[in-house]
Amino acid sequence: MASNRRIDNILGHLSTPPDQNKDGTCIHSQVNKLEKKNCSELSDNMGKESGVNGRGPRIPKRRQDLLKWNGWGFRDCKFVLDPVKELVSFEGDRYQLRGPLPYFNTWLETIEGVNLHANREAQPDIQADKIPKPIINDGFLEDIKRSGISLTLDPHDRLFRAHGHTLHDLFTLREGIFERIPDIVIWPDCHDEVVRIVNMCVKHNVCIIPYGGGTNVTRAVECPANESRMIVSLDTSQMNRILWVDDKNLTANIEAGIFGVDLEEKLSKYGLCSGHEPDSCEFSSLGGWVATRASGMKKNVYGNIEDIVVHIRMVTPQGVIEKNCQVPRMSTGPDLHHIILGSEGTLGVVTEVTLRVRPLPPCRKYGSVVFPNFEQGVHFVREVARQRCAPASIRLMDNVQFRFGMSLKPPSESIWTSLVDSLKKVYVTKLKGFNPETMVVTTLLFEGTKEEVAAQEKRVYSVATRFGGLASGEDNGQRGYMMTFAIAYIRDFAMDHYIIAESFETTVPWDRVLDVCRNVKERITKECAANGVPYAPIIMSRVTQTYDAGACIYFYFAYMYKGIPNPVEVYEKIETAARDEIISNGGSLSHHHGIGKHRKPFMKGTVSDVGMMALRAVKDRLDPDNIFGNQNLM
Amino acid sequence: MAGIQDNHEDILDPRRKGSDIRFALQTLRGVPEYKYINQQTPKEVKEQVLKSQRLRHVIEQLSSEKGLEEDVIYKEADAILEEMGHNLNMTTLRSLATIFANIFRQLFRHIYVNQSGIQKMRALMKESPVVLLPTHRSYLDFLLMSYILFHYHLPLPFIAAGADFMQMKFVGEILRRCGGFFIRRSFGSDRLYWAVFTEYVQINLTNSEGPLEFFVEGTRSRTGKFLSPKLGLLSVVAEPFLKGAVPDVTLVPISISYERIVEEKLHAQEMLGIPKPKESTSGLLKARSIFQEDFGSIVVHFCDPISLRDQMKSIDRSRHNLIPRFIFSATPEEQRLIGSVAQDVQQVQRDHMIMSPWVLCAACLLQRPDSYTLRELTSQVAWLKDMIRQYGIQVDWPVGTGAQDIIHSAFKIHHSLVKQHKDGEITFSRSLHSPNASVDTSTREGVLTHAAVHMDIAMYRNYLAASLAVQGLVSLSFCGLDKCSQDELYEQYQFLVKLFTEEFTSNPSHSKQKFDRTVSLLVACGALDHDREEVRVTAKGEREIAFFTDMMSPFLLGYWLVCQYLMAHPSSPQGVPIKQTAKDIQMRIATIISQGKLHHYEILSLNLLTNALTALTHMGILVREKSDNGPLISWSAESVSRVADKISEFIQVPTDMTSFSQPGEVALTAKL
Ligand SMILES: Cc1cc2nc3c(=O)[nH]c(=O)nc-3n(C[C@H](O)[C@H](O)[C@H](O)COP(=O)(O)OP(=O)(O)OC[C@H]3O[C@@H](n4cnc5c(N)ncnc54)[C@H](O)[C@@H]3O)c2cc1C
Repeated sequence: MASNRRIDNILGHLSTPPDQNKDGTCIHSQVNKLEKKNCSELSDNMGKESGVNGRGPRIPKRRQDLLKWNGWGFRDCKFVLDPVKELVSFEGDRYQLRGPLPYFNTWLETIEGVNLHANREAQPDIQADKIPKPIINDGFLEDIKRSGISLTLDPHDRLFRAHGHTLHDLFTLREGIFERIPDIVIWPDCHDEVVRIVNMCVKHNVCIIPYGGGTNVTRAVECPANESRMIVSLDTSQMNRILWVDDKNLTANIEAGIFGVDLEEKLSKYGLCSGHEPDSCEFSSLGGWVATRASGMKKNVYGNIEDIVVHIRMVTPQGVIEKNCQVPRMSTGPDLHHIILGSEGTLGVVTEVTLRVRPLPPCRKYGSVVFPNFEQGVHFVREVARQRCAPASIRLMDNVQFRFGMSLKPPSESIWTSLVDSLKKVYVTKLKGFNPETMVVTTLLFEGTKEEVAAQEKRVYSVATRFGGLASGEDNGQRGYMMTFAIAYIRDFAMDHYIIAESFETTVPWDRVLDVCRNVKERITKECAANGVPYAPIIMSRVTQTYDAGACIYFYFAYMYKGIPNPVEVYEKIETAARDEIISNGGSLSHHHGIGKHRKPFMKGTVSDVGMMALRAVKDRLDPDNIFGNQNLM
Repeated sequence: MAGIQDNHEDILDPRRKGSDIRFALQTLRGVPEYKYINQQTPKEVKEQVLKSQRLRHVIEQLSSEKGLEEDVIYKEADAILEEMGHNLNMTTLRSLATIFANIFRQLFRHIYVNQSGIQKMRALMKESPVVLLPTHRSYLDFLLMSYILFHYHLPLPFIAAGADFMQMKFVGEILRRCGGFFIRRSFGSDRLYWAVFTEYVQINLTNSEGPLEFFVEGTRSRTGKFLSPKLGLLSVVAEPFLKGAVPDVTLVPISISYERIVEEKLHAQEMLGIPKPKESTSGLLKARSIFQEDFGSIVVHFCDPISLRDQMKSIDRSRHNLIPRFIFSATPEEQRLIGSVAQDVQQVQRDHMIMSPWVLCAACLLQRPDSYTLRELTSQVAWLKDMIRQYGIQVDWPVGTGAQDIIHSAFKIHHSLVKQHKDGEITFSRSLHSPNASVDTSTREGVLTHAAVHMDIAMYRNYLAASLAVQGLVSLSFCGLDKCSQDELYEQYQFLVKLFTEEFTSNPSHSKQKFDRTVSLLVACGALDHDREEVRVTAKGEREIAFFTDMMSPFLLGYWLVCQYLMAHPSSPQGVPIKQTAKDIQMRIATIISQGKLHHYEILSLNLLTNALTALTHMGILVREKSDNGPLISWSAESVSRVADKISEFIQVPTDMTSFSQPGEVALTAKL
């Protein structure tokens, strides 16, 4: 049970903290229950054995049984509108967020044009006969069946793997159908099976699209409409074992299909963790992280994926690419890892990864600091970066997002008074400059030994004071992190009411952070008007990562689209304009989401013509027949 | 035709009815504020400049190049900043508001402002930093602009003023308190000055407590024409946009049309090279006699705002991502585009200038000095008014008043320039200072004295010439024929455009477009007729084309005379100073006029003569070299003669003139 408690810790920002968890259910028992269900199902299904650790995957092969087929997350978790009381509440008890959210309605109404009575229902489950029929390569199908590797031609399984989580994808699922979807889903169980599958595909000229968690927001797993070969969705989810753990070197060798939450859970049994926690970590996979160059929120302590990775094994059409040792660094020409990292499934399948791992931190603590305005907040996080005293996570939300976060408070607490009152108790005189219309919050997550955390806190809070910040408690910090998980669910609810919502991110040099935030907001507002969006959009930004030389900025953006005949097209035009603005203002094309097919048009400008040639050369050499034909990046 | 009053309101009207004090002390309501305003005291701004990375970077460079202590250079920067900085102060402004209200009321009958323009600007002031770009014809422009903004409860502007104002101690200080800051006239490659100046302007721009105001022309135009735009400040303004420091910059071109320019006499004398008194407070006080004068009305038109972002759409701003933003960088493409924006701003300004009846009188009178009767003039001016309105030129022609009365009224305002005799004949005053004095124009001195009157009248005529320049050049391009092939016409036109780049500024990248549009316009108005090959002057068009030709040909004759002089006086190999050459040519022409061989006094304008020399330099006919005593030019008679020959294709030039100094009547007859 000790390990269970540790999991609770790790999942802290997902779940109810133990002391608030009055009904006594803890997330772990939930997981157990689910896994039991999964296991029985699995045995019914394909006869797949469970992993070395004695349990099957948390998410079943038929993911749609547990997860929404046309939205984000678990089927049993969603925002709903109580038709009688007209209140929004969050259904499901997997998260700290639950029950009625009285302030959320009020917040929603700040989005111009919002009308919760206007419903835009998604289409019901799509009938099997409406789903595109598979293109079959008979020779391949025969070979693969003979191999005994787990597979299915089931239409719904294929549909589930036809998309990621861009707005475009979800709109298509809600209102239409993809032109092209995978023709077969194959679940290799281990590295060797992947090698065999790739060989068969090369032999029969069949296209492979690696599929991990399907959480990409770049249209990376989408099947190119012009692909006439049979397409395999190579689902890595059954490769989710920890193959070994080396506690002398603090490394662990792990199969690439493991999901983030499962990885941390399994490592915790060894008293270890990877520390890699992208916001999608419930559903995204290790292979996906490597393939997209993912970034976790605690990178200040643990590093981004490229820092954590010690060894990668990838199966390409030319064979397996890997290094012959597991060392922290080597000088042997250009680092091959950097060809694999970010390759987005265009070169091969990542099958096994050795990660550096860390002892589980004994102490984890949230924190928050409010500032009178965004500018001061930015100066603060910049100073923290300069002094290199950033805790595991430090995020600065702008005022819009701050208020949004506050609106997710449960009914027992009043939205402003509680915050302001609690601050007042501490700072009777200092609270003057704080205006709810401009104030912002920085959320903090500290990890380490108790003493380390205390020392970090002291340092960070003293810098905060210098920049006019007031510490505003652990709850507000935790709420901030919880909000980012909730946001993914909110989009489905929003779309039920004609609201488009999407996010995008970038990295910028420090001196441009404020300018980029402002100019992108301005540009979006202008583009919305120019493209006939009838209502003013709501745009929020947050600084989510800090580095020595710059920061990662994350934008959310939503608007009421009722009355626009082609909302997705219009949205994409606006996003393209926003991206153009970011790049014009010195920002990067992407900090962690990647390129996929969504941002391809900007690639050449980003890496230069010769840079494209280099990428193209690698691709042509490793995969001359374009077996990995998802057409990402180039 | 709607009158000016219909879409402009007279902001002096309430000042005639209400109290000035109350006006000055009124609470300003609904003052629009930039949504990302950053409020700083003038002192804080200066500190920020001194702390800026831009300044530090330049100072580090200078220090290592010149071996100077950084501290020493910082002190210098501090001094520059002290000299430059504004000190906008609401209290001073309010006390001045009373005085200004009073002054304006005494000098002018009306100050008309288009409210719609104010409204558009007001809305945009919340959205992005705003730059006001008025035309510059008078010192009063500064005061007028601030007064108007105050009247409309708009934030007061920061004004880039020439450093020569600083010489006027008292006025200089007042200007500072009204938000004026001072820029040295020429600091070309002084990197320290550039850095301080750039940073100072950009901080004020991005803070955007009020709009920035400067003059695209750089200085007052004394000739009524548009000066070719100066791009320095515009580049400084564009940089924050190009480097993402502001979401956009809104440019508001403003056309200020004075019925009578307060300092017209000074301008006329300056054009003749009679030294202008140094700007001094006592000079201004001497000007007190102007309060007895009637300067008519002013029309101020706030044109549609221009978004710099829209103008710069084609630019890939990410090119600046690889250099820190404090290092000035503008690609050639950006510089070209900034030049083009400046030209477009001027075009908008030009399009919204309002012609007073006097401008039309001046245009007619100059074509036939001393030979109009009031009746003839009245009918010609009335014809001209209708004619030019076809071309979209706005004339402030009061509705319901007889033409003769209108002209009378114009003469009253400009009584020092023309005299109306009992027999109805109209003559030019002999001298600007004493209209009734007799002046002996058979001496050079007499010619120059009388020329000032011509200069002054020409200045008003030039308002029209600037607005109708393209029509004028197209008309000239017929070379006196009544038909011409499209291609030939354009070829001739292009030559004139090149020759007159200094005279009539326009956007070179729109040259063909403008030509085509103007020809179509002339066709639409019935002055020309065309088929695929040929363009013909119609019977109705003869009078128009003749008018346009006559309006423009003095310029061409002036350029031709310059060529004649250059041909007759080969330069020494090391070159001669450009200023001196212009002066010499002027003296030669004065002599010719005094001999009665030429009647075009306006050619004595040093502005015209210098423009001609500059244009010839641009065309590669003159070679220009820098020297310690200013630019030197040298030329060969042969290449000059080619230009002279070309010019003579357009207008009838005196054929018997083998040498510039040879006697003979220099007659100017348009080739019609
Ligand atoms: C709500 C939400 C929050 C998110 N937060 C973050 C975040 O905080 N940080 C972050 O970095 N990203 C974030 N993302 C983006 C996304 O989760 C990451 O890109 C993640 O790394 C994708 O992993 P996946 O397993 O879901 O990959 P998929 O979506 O399945 O695939 C992504 C790409 O990788 C390829 N691929 C997948 N597995 C393999 C493999 N084993 N070998 C070779 N190629 C493979 C696929 O072909 C595809 O091109 C978020 C997305 C959502 C929807």
